Amino acid sequence: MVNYIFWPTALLHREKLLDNQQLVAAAVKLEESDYVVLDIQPIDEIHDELTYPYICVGTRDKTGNWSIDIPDFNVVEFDIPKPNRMQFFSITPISLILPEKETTKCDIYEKLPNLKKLVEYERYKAPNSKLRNSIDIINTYHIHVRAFREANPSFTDFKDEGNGDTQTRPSWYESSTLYKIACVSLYYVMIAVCSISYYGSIALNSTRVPLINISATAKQIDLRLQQICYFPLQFLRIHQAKKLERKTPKFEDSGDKKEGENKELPYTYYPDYIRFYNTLWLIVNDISFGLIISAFLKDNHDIVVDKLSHVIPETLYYTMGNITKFLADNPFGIKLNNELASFLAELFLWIMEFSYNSLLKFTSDRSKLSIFIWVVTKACSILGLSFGISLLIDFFSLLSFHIYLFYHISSKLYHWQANAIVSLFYLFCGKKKNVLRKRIDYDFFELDELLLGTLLFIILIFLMPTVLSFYTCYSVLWMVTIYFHILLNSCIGLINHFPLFAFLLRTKDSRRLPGGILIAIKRHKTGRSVFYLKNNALPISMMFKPFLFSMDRIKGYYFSISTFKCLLNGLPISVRKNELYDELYAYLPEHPVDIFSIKSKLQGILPTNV
Amino acid sequence: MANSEPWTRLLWIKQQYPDNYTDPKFLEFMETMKKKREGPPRIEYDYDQIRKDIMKFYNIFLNSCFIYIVFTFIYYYNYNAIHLAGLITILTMLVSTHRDKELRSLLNVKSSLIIVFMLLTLSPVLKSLSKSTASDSIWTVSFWLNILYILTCATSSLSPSLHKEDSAKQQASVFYDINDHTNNKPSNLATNLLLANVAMLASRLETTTDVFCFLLICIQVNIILPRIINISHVKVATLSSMLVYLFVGVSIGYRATIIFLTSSVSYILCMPRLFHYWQMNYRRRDYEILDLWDPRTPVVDVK
Repeated sequence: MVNYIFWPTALLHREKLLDNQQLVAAAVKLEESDYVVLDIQPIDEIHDELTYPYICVGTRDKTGNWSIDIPDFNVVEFDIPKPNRMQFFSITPISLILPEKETTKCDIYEKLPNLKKLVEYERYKAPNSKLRNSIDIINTYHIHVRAFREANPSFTDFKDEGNGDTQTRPSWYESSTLYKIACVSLYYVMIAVCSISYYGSIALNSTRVPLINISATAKQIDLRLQQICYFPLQFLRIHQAKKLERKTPKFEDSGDKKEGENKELPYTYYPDYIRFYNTLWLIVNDISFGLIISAFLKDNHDIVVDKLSHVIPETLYYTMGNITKFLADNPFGIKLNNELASFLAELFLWIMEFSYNSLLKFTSDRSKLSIFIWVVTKACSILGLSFGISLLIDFFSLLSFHIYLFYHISSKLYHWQANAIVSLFYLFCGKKKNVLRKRIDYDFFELDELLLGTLLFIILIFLMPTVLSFYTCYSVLWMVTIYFHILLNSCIGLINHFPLFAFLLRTKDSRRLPGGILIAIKRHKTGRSVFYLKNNALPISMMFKPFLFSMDRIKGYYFSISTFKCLLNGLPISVRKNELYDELYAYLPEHPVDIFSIKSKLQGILPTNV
Repeated sequence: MANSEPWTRLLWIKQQYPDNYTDPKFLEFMETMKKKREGPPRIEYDYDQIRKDIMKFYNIFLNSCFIYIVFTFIYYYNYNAIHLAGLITILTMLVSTHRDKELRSLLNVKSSLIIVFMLLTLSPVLKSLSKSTASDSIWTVSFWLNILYILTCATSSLSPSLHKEDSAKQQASVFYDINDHTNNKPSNLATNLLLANVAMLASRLETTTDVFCFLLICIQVNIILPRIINISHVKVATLSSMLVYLFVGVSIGYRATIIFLTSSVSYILCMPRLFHYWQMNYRRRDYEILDLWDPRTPVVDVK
């Protein structure tokens, strides 16, 4: 069994300063961990023996050669993660979405169920958690150094520059009365805002058909409210991380207690920090985009209103009417059944007339449009661009409702007719569907059955082109509408959930976004390889995982062969905006957080003695 | 390995023999097959049977000609369809009273009522169905449907295994035996093709009454009557031939009639001989090997 000694690079620099002295290296070793070197000191300054969990791993003579007391060892060097910069190592890539929402389903396991058995077999699982525990020690390195020095005072006199002082003293303003009053009043304002948001979100979700399923604006409002509700909890967790960093761990007694404390390590809260600031950044970003767009809209208010009042009735009423009339009158020389075609055309024209008189006429009115654009402008500038776009989506879905009706009616007709034709075709061939055996069997039919079936078959075949032409036309129109919806919804998704903060962090300091570790050979020293512990930055594909999921969904629903099959069979296709963008909501808990459930905890961090 | 059941050449039966089992008699069997192939034809082809089957094609063709004759009467000559329909219905009734039992088994009151009312309901729909379609396309589709009908109808009612005495008995009577269901029922597909053809033609007619009458006539002549009357019988065949040639002669002219007649006669005279000659001289005789392995369609559900 090879023993690993994790050796911080900062100590290598120190070693150079202490040339021509005999040195001793002290390390921490728990029962289930490797050696992590904490300090080196000149040997003559050491007075007392090191006790568990600390151990002396080796000594250096005056010529600079280390002799290590541990059998079969390998040295792994590492840079000490800086806690004030929130750097840390992680064996598995950190999750930017909430851990409870992490989807563990794997496609390959579904395809090959036996593979899962094989992978999860006991024998192939390493029970060894040494590396994990060692990484934990490395991540809390400065805490361990502090604890070590408290336990062994003879090591304390040397000042270490690398670790940085985390024992920040309270600033001068934190003791002033004004600050305390501000804190308390902010606390009450926050409670009020959060409880309003909580009940607002509950109200939006409580109707029998939740409003958020119908309206994009309601969904956007709900998202903002949930974010507001979640802020205090996130803040609490970040605060907890800061508190933990100031705390000295008490693990000296035994190694087992350390394991129980494992979850309370400060760096486990760093993803919360990233999520919290990501949300804040996005909101600020959203509002700044909104300001740009609203400025543009305000400047071009009249032009936009003019255009819209012309375009809306033109595309949604006159063009649709022309298309319907065209379909009724033998389009492209295809001979349709006149009676059925004129009936269908009349039906659709009637619906169009109705929707024009009840809705389109009203909305395309210049004064009404002017008010609507004004509302969108204000929503953009105050609440953000996402609200402006969601208002547009709702407006558009209201206006395109008659297209949905056309599509729905024609698809029902088509579906019914296609099914009937297939069944009658079986009858035509003298066969029959055997539902018990799920196959087509030969059967003998009486003359009247055959006669009725064949006549109906002939009639349906003759009527098919008419229904098909209406169906094709309206389903194409409806698909265009759906794609427009998806485009706008995806814009909102990007504005709301783009991992902006994480992206910037990755560019700035990739050690704050660890995506696993890498142990590489650094150099060869006296016939022995020295390794170096590196941090892999989180892959970009992991950062955009929810987006990739959502893209896959969109592809599956609207751009795949199954969509085409659905269209061919006349099965309904609808805008499923909730299913499509659910993955993006993985940054938020399932239900809004009730502020009163964490009230006492929040009170605990208020400054005392007001 | 002592198996009680002998090995058979059937693939779909689970037998107590390994998959690569070779029958000891296999070589012997192959030898006999070889001899058979090289030796003179052993099977005596029944020329009479071939002639009858060829005639059957011809009769079905003649029968389907009546569809077009009736259609021409109504569509071109504007003949009153009601008279014709009444005439045919009375004829059918007469034939049916002649075979009272047959009527009950084939056409009971319920189904005939259903047929009549259904025709009455659907006639107006059918009439307006193909208004926008060109007549030429209808004629073309009708032609191909008719060809398909003749082929499916004839092949489904061929009788390769009739015994001499049976066919002799059949020959004797104009009407079918009620208990004999082997010969007089064409397949569902054939009936449906015929109906589709008739419905297509009917959609060209002007009035609802015409449509109804046309459908009624065609169904009686081509579906109901052939199930009661043996259309291969000499008297029936002669009568229908005379009617068809008379019509062709009167409506198209004597030249067409002569061409038509010559081709028919040559078909009736030459086809059986040609077929017989082909069977005697060119037909592969080792098909028996294949036949022994598998019947062409395995019987799954044996009642």
